Amino acid sequence: MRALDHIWIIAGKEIREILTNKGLAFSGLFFATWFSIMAGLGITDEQIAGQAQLNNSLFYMGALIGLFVGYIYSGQTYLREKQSGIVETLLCAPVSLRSIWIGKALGVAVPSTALALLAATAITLIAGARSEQALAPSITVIVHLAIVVPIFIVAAVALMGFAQLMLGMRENMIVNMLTIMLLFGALAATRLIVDEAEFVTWTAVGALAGASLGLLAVTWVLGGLLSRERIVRTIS
Amino acid sequence: MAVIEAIYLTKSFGGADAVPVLDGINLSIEAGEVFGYLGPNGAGKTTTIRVLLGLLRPTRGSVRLFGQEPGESDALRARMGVLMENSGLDDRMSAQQSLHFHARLYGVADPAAKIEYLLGFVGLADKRDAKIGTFSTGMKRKLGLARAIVHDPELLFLDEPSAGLDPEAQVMVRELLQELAESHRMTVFINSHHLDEVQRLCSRIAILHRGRIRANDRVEALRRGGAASRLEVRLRERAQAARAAELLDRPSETGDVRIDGATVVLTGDGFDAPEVAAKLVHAGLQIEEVVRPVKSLEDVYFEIVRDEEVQA
Repeated sequence: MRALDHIWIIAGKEIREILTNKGLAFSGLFFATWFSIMAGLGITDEQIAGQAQLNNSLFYMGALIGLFVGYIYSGQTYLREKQSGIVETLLCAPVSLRSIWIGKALGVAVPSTALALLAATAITLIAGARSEQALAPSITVIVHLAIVVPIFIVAAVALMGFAQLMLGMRENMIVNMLTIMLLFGALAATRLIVDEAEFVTWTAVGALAGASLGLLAVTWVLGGLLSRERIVRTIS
Repeated sequence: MAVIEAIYLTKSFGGADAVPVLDGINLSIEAGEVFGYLGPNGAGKTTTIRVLLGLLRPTRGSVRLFGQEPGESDALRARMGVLMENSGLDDRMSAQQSLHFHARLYGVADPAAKIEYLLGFVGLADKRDAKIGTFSTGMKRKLGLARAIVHDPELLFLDEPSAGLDPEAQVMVRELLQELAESHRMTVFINSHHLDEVQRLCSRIAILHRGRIRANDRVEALRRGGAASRLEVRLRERAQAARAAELLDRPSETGDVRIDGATVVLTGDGFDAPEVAAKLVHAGLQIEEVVRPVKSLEDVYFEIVRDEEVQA
């Protein structure tokens, strides 16, 4: 029970800080807005093709925007706090290591998911405004956005946080560069994926849900490897 | 029972051939003591604190706090307060938010009242809503101190509490620590290379150099040269000094007696100043001065560090 309290206290602090840090809040909002405008404008105004593209776009971009924003926020929440000694102070508190890690992951995942959902709404509105036909996401996409995307974002952010806590500064720089390349590669592939015939089926949503739960399980197991010694020794 | 006990504490980073950062440290600190841990940069002071806090595991030896091994025990961590060299405060929070966050983590009852008291105690009551990022180093240090004691810990660890502070801020922080030690009756472990601070605050100190404790005693004992106390008796004439040395240098006496001009220098435990003076006066000798010289802590510290450098 106390562990749950700690998780919410830490998550609440991270959410408040992300929302009140103008630079950080703006960068997340900027990327979410930019990607949603690009994605919305890329959807054709033909009804059938447009509907398929909208569903594809929401399926793909919802997760990707959440991941991108989560990446930006996690750098602040884990890495910067580790460098500035805030994490070390937390490690001295009567809080389990897992509570610190999960609390921070939730603190990052909540605003990242909120922005991903806002971006999905913006994509739908932009595509709808350009089309003479009414465009709305399918029920599979809505389920995907409401359930699968949040799980995926929590798992991905927790994994990024794990790496940032456990790795030294040099290793983190390398991982950061790889992550950035991967994210931009995924964004560059948006056009190819979205223009395909509609692939958002219950099977696809189920597969991504399974993959997200798998990632969550792997991340949870990895959490057992967290150690105060490892974190402290990789501070500088 | 000792609050802190370290037995042959050794910590190495790297392989078996790595030079230990801490090499066979023995410490025993009782409840209510203000203990100073002195040493130059890189001596292993912060590593010691981290091992005592359970952030690092000893390579060899053992550590016990309140009779328990530090590690994953939340209950044990709740009894300790910590202020590391880097205050560990979040610049984007206000002073009040920062204290409130930590008070909630430690489960402090009535945090609002406690925070009000602490902000007043460290002189930041008028800065409660200001962002920590706008604070000077001294203000951050004071807030860090308030944060470290927000849950009324029984044991407080302070890593270089005056680091980076201007002289005025150093005095302010020192006065706060003095008040804390006196009024809150905490056991305090202070890491420092600030000799004046340690001398004023601590009842006992250990001097660490290259991972080993080179001295560990009460401040006054160290300043008197440790266990071997020294007494100097200056007589009116050189001839009288020789006679005094003869009188005092008897088989029943322990220690060393030597002559330095008209002064007899007595080193050892067996020399009681009134007794020595009475004996010499009774023998008809004329005493100009009886002095028990005391070295400054700075002298003691540099003697030890220099000796170690020469031996190395």
